[in-house]
Amino acid sequence: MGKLVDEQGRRVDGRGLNEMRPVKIEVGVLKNADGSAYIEHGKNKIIVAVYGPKEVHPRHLALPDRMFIRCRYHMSPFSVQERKSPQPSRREIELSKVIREALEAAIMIEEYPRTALDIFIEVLESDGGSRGASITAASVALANAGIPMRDMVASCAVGKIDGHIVLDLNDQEDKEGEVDLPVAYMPNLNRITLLQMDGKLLHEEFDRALDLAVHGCEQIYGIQRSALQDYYFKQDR
Amino acid sequence: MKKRKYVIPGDVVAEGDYSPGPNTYRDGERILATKVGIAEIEDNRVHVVPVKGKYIPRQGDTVVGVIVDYNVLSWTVDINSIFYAYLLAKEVLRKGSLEKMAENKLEVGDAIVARVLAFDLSRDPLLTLRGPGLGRVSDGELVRVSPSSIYRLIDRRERLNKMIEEATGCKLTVGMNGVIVIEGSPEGTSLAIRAIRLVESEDRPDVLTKSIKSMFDMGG
Repeated sequence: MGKLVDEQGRRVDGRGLNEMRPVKIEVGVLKNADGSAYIEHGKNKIIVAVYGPKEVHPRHLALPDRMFIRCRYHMSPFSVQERKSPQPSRREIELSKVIREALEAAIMIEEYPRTALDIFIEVLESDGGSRGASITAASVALANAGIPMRDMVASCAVGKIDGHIVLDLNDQEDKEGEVDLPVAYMPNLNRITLLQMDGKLLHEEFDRALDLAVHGCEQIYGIQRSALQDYYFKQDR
Repeated sequence: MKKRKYVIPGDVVAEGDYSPGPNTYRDGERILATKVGIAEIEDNRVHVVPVKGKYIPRQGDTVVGVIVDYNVLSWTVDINSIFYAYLLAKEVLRKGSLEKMAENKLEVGDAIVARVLAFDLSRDPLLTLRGPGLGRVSDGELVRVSPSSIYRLIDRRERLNKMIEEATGCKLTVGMNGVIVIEGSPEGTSLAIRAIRLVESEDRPDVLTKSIKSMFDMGG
């Protein structure tokens, strides 16, 4: 005990308990995609490409009343310390599904029936909280592609390490800590689109953790906003 | 009085007694934006002009497309939209001599100027070639721009495209789907392309007309 948080309340990477890792978002990094974004969240380096809305192939997958969304979360073989097999693992398939569902809540899928939307998420370098960073970046890429959305989706994790509720776990804290709780959140609608928990929390601790996560998502939302504004509205004014 | 504001998805554009127009929606008392763009509030109507997005066909629009496939009854046309459009044979072939019909034959890869005959989201768009100025493009260059910038080129009483035509001596056929056909001399064409790129990148109306004018005054 006490190896993840020291007596002064500093964490392994020198952050305070409620402090987030540095986050940087770039918009429109890929020319061939309809929309794209690149995020650095701590040591995470993730690139997201969005294609669509477009015709559905194969044809029979088309839905008569809404958009068909495909999402692929994939970790590059070089994104971790030991080479990872490029084949999608059980974990990646599950993350693709939860990320799709977290974004689908915001996308106005009924606006473009009989069309398809592809979201490709490639993790170039991974750290803790890569699903959250993926959702954050994918939401920016969707806005870049001009996909109609009810709101942006910002995502951030909270956790419990050495008995403390902390914001934004890194890889080591995720692996050695007690609880990991990723949250995706629509800031203007005040709605949660993803909530997972790994570990155990008291009721009171959970309430506190969720408040902290929402607070983190709002910070992330601010970064998403300035990334989009810089890209679209500041180029020549 | 028009009010303009830059928005991203989820931004509150207006609150209270407004009616939501294109690219906005109502959530309780608030009107929120669904796309990155410029929100415009006029009287009690609110809408967002998106900075980016695919072309959504509208009945009556003139579009420029490229034939990608054909069968006995129709041609399939890529109109740079979320769906392929269909051009039925009866909308192409006119009555007359066999020679005339052969003239109208379209091959894969041909560019056409067509009009949207019918479209709603439950069916693929239908095109027609019947009408003045429609038909196969026999000469010229295709320029693709983002569909949302087409309005800047034509909507303000057709000033900018006429201005470009006069200054370059080229003929512009503007498709609402973001494809433009330029016919004219090579020098005029390259000047026209530069002017169109300027229209695409500059969205401030006052600055735009001025900078196009100064570009032509300098002799290109």
